Amino acid sequence: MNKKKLIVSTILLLVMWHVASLILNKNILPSPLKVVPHLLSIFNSKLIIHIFYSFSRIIFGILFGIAIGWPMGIIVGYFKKADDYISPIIYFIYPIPKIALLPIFMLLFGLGEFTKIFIIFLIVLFQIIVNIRDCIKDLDPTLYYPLNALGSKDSQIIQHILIPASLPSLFSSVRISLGTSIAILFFSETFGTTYGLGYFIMDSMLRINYVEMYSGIVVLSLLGLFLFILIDIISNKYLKWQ
Amino acid sequence: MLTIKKLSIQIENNIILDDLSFSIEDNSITSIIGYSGIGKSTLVKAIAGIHHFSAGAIFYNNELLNNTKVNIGYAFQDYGLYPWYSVKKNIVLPLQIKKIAIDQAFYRSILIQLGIDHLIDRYPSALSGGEKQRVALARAIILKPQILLLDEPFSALDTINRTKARDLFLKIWDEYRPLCIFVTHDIDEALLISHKILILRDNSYIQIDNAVRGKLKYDPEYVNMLHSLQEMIAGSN
Repeated sequence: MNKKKLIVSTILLLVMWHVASLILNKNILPSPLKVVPHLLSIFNSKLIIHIFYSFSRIIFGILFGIAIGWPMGIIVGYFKKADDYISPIIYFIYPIPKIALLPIFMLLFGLGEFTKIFIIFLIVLFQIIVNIRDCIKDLDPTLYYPLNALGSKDSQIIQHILIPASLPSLFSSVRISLGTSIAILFFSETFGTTYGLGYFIMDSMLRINYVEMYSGIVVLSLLGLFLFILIDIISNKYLKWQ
Repeated sequence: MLTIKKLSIQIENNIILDDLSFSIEDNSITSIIGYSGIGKSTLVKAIAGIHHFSAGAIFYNNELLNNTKVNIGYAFQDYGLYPWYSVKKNIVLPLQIKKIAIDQAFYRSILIQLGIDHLIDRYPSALSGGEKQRVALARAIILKPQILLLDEPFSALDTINRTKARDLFLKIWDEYRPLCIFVTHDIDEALLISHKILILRDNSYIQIDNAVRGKLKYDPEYVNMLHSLQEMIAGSN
């Protein structure tokens, strides 16, 4: 993302927000001139702990999703038998909105951290499995020829072809599922916890502290932006060849 | 010696090659020529263990050819380079697969002879067609393979670079003289390079000795051979 363009679009957004607050002229939409200074003043004392919790939950959810989803996608995409048996199960579960399963996980695993991370993990997991599987299935068969001629084993084909070839799909899967993950994170933080940006925003609303509520919303969107930039940096590092 | 006995290859109910038998001696180059789609590349892929065959057998030194035991170097028509690996990693990949330590002196000499020593940190996407072809050739010979398969390795090059690449190939081949099979659609190339020529035709094949190897292109013997080869490919001889 271009730094200059990012600054310009941020300023544009703040101006639009300020104008809207002037037109509406109600407490429910405070001006960014109030929100931004307030945000900065409570950042270290109040917000940082909530950011830490939200960030940890989303990162662990994504990392577990990658750790299980990437190898599973490769196995299902490459081995015909695995595809025959596992794909129908994936097709059955994939379309279910994962948020609909949240009550079940709450009953099974309680209201603690595990449930919050698990629901993000599920969103990322299926996106990765389906994308990686399709990517592997679409690979040009001639890509395997150089290794076939060397009599290479499946493990070597996985190491030298399937893992690097599926890396772009992995990054795009994480990008695609990130937006949904943040939405689900917000929802899951509105119960069973007193930490996390979801809790902070809802708590501020109930206390009718709209300036603080908007501070939480801004930080949540910045967290999303930060994660997108982080994925871009990592993918640029590992996909130099593209 | 590589011996092919009664080889038949069928792909999705199409018979590509039928009842093919011939043998190739060590330290020699055999060119395979014939019309496009006649099965030249398919035959080479069968020898490399990429394509399965429906009947027959391939032997190397009287044992069934097994690409896990015999080192086979293969330069593909479309190069077959992995875009995610640097030139260096692409070249040494066969050594890694076969778990053989890199012979630094040989590696350096290949890079220098092929003029690709300055490209080793680049990715294939940053190479020209000619550079990719030289990298593919380097990868095929890095193992010092017993069997070297080259599938139209110079087809992407213009006439001048093609001649250069051919001379370079012959120089490198001469250093350790592997059994080499060279697929080409260019009869001149076959006559200039190979000791034997295998002509694939519809439902038949001919293997001949190349008596004009090393002769000049305008030598009467060379011209006669060229004409008779053209007739053989067309199936009138």
